[in-house]
Amino acid sequence: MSDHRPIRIEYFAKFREAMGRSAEDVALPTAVGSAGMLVEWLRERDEAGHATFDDSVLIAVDDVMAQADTSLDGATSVALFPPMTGG
Amino acid sequence: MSNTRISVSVQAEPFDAGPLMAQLRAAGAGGIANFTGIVRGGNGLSALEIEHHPRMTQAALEQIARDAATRWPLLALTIVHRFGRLDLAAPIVFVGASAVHRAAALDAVAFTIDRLKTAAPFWKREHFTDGKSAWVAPRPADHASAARWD
Repeated sequence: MSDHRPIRIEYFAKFREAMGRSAEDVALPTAVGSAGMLVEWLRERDEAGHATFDDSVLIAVDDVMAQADTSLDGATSVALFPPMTGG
Repeated sequence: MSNTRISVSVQAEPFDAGPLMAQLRAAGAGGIANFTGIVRGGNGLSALEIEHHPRMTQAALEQIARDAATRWPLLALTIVHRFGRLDLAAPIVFVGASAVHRAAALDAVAFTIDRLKTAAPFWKREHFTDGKSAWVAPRPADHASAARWD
């Protein structure tokens, strides 16, 4: 079993601007097993991630709204976005 | 099982509320309620830009519509939400509902617009006449309005 898995991370709205890209493909350590752990991993990876993601971040795993403890098993994409302001 | 006729559209193009209202006419309907949100001017605003999550918005709005149809006996419910750059006074969102009695139609429209402000993946960015722009921060009042239906 590999100790990394490929996953696509997408950023929206102010997170997209802060990260300077709309998406990236990463090799995620298998130990990063939940949506919340992925956010923490991004915060620790570099300064941009640390400055960008706070407690307000909303997470979708494979296009379904997720919680911090949502498993990433079998997931192919994670979307991170700020609170919604539609309507 | 709800027999509500649900119509959801996420689009860049403008819409005309007239034909949308006509589509909500249904046999047995006693009333049709509707709300149209438009780009509000003032404070130096020149345009509004709406970003969305293309793979999630349609499903999110359909889920809100199904929730409304579960709560009230609706004959039809229509949601139209735009994205992209919108000029002042341009229509942003339309919600319309028809029902046998007015209370269901009025409440369903209020519920739907309150919900979609906080539960559908859209983000507004304001552009100002001085060339600056800024993301719209979530308003506590919007979350309070959405929470009153919980």
